[in-house]
Amino acid sequence: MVELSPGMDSGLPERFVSEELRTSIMEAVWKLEAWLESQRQPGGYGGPVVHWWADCLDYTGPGLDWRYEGIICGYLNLYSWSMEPKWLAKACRAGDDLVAGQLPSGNYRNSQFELNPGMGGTPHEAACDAALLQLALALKAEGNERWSIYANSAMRNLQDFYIERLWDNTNQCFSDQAGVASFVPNKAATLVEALLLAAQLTAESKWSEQYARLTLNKITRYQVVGGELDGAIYQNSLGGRIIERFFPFYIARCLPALLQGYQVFQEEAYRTAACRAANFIIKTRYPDGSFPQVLYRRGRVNRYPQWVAGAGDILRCLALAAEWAPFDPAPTLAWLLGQQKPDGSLPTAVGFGNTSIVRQKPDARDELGVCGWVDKTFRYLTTLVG
Amino acid sequence: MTRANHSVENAYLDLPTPEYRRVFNHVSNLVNASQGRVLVITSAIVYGIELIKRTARPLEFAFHRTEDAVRFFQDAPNWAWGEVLPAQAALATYQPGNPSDLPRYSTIVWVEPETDRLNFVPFQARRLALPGAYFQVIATTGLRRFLPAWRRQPRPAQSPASPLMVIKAVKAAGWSVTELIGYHSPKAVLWSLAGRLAERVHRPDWADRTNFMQRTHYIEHGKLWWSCPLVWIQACLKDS
Repeated sequence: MVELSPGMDSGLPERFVSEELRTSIMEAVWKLEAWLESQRQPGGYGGPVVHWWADCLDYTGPGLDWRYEGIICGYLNLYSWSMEPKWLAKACRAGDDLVAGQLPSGNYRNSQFELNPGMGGTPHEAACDAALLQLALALKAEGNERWSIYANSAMRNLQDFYIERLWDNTNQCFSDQAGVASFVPNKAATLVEALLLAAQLTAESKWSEQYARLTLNKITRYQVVGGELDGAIYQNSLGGRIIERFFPFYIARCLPALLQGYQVFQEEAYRTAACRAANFIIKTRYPDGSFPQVLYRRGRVNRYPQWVAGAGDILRCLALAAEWAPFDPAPTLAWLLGQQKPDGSLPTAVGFGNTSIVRQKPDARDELGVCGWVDKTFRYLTTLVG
Repeated sequence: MTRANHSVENAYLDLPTPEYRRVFNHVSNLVNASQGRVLVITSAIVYGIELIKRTARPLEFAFHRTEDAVRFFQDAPNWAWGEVLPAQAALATYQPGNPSDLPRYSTIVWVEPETDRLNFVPFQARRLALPGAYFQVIATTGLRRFLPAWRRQPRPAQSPASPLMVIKAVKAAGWSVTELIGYHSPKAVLWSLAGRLAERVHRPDWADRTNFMQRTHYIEHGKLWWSCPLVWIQACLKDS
């Protein structure tokens, strides 16, 4: 089995960034970092959440959800680049939030993001696991014994929640809800990332062979082949019914797992699927660099809300596939950086006011800085500073 | 913690429907922002769990039925965010000793009142309330039969009292009702039906837009609160 690069985001293409752009990126990163710091509360990173499915504006306490993925990996990227201990300390502090917030069931407290408070959030808990395992790998590589604390937490969640509760033996995949036949490719992909890291850390093949490989195979079966939606990945299935919605953001989040699967299993089908998906996402981009929210069959589209802070994740994922699906991030990067606010945060979206039947713009949700979206641009930009 | 505490674990994993999620978020925000002790009186363990998920500060619990209190305190403290304390004595009809020795609360939350408690709990809450205290009640109307929580067994309450009955009882006990909010308004129901219709005619793009409309109209702040299945009532003491 081929190993993944430990402790930092891997697989980025050759640096394309000019000195001038690098300076603006560095400035953006420091501002984002300062803003994230301002969102800390006892127990972790808090604040409101706005999302496509639902908003959580009335619970604003800490959420142990996918915000930790970008925060921990972002700090690890900064540490890997600068070797300054303060970044590693911040990554560990975020890891400590997750460890302290782990419940007797192995779940993390308030991991439902837009549905907070609640536990068992998907893909949020898997994203936390992947981040903890990245942290563990980085610490282990340095001979720091704290690695086992983070690794144990992540493994406990993977075993007690994902494998014991969500693994569907009949359909040979991870369900999105215990006891309900449901599969969400992007969420499963995040879980595959965590499983492959677990396999690497423990050298136990069950994580990769028994679960990750089967899950990747299932994800590839959710890809559209041919036609105007070639490369797109169905959003989910529920009770055997496929939901025909195609979100560029969520399709992008399938790429890292597919590419890591290709790297680990040397399975060409995964690379092909990733390239197809990347080309589909690139095709949907508007000239200003932004992406639509969701596409449907027969050329239908709901453009709004267009993720701003979340677009960082699309760029990060496309960068991983750039070797095979060439892509110029410059328009999106410029669009993204141009919207950073004086407080350091990024708006969540453009066009929340255009989402309903009765258009009511402007909408305050656009302007809201949300940890679980800002972390995505933070993570992406930290890969570019080195 | 083993699988023995299955009920609390399942209640933690089981997300409430949006009405309950929104109302418990709202109540918890007020509880978290309040000063002083907080008493929660409830008919069901699951409601207690929704509050301990959301509240980092100590909460004192009294259940309509003592056996629920016993079950709750066996498991819940291991899961709670903040401290969870028993206060079953708050519902005792006879409390010996000096009345000034009674515990006093700045916030009293009553979730799903039952008819046989209406003549007691609001009066008792008044005895236990500090000057300026808030009494918050979460009650369901006859439309509760459409809520998933009420289609399962065991039901959250045996003989639920309607918001109108609660308001009458609360006022009779010397409280003044200051605010009412209804959750899952008829407008939201209509938008939800429109969304299903859109899905049926193969327009998922329209369905997604109706979902946003449904979210916009989910809460009823106005006089139509009675047309919602779930209602939040806030009262304060008339003389404070």
